[in-house]
Amino acid sequence: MTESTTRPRRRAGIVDRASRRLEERAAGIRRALDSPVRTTRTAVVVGRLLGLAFAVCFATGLFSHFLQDPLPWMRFPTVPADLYRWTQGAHVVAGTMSIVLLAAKLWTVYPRLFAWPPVTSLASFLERASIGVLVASAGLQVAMGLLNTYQWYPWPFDFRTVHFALAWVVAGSLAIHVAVKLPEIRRHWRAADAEERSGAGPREDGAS
Amino acid sequence: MTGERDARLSRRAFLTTVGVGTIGLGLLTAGQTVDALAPLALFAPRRVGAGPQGLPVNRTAEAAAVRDLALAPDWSLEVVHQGVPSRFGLDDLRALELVEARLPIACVEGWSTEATWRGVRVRDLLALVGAPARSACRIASLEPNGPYAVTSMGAEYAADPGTLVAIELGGEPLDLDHGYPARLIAPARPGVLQTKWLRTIEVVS
Repeated sequence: MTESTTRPRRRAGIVDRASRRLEERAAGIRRALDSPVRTTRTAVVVGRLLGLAFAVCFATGLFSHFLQDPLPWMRFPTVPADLYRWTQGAHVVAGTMSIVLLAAKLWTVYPRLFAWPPVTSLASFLERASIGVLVASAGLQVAMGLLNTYQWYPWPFDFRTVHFALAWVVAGSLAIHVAVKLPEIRRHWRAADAEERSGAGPREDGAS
Repeated sequence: MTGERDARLSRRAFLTTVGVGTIGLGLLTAGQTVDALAPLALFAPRRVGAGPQGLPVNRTAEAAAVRDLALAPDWSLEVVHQGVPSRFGLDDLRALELVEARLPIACVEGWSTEATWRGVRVRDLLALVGAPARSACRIASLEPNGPYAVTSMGAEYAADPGTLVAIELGGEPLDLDHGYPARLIAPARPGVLQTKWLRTIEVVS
């Protein structure tokens, strides 16, 4: 800003004002959505249950996929005869249960959508982008799985191909998400640790 | 401090709601796999015991366009080994040693039902054409189209004494929608691979 002509200065003024206004708006939304339930601890409690449900779905889904399209060296157990009955039953039950957990997890954390500024560095951009991919792919994966149990295919593509591919997208973006959040997850893994940190007693901002 | 107590209460209420919702939805779905929960399976698309011979049907003979082929009086199962076909009509199959197996039909969509099947062991058929019990096979249905009209079956299934070319279900001839005249039934495999309206079993190794 050493070369100060009028035009860039005015433009900077507009950008500044717009930015300030957006910042106030975002802060307002976050205040309005603030709830004692929306804590990191809640996100961890719901998140690990959702992670467990997704892990069951991923493992049983891979098993089902390779039963139908085995790699040349693959051999499968024929005992117990009910094996596939249980793995696929678990796949569908865990997937259906994850609808509630996914909704709860998104409800807990979605005020962070209004963080301002939205991106602070390349790392924060990549992190937010990975969460965008995770939320979109997980939502689609669960929804299309549910529709499949009703044999309803309102799309032009092959269900199995897309469900299989999306499973890897969910798994990959979930791995990134967990890796990024690992320090927070560890701090809030146990209720006692979480309370010690987020504070029974007056909160830092003096809200209680 | 009331603020903190309220916060803890609403956290607990939230987690309880999520827990009850999750477990409830699970229980309402699990009935399609766990027989004991069947009366609760409100959320499951399939009713246990619905369909011909008390077993649900995903793909009917009509949908698969196999009705005429399956009901043809000269139907026979072709078993191919080293390029040489052998034919088994329904009477030929009935004349062989028939064994009974209690095996589930477990669909990729999550529902499953156990049933009593009767038929000829695949490995006995393989022995009749001179193929080893542990043979990988290509299984073809009369079905002209469809993603599972021709499928592969690993050697481990052919070797298992529970793997049958089934011609009866629950003591009666197979219903047309369950694969009459003969279908494949093997342990621990997805329902889509339990080929109905069998046409050919080809030894590939």
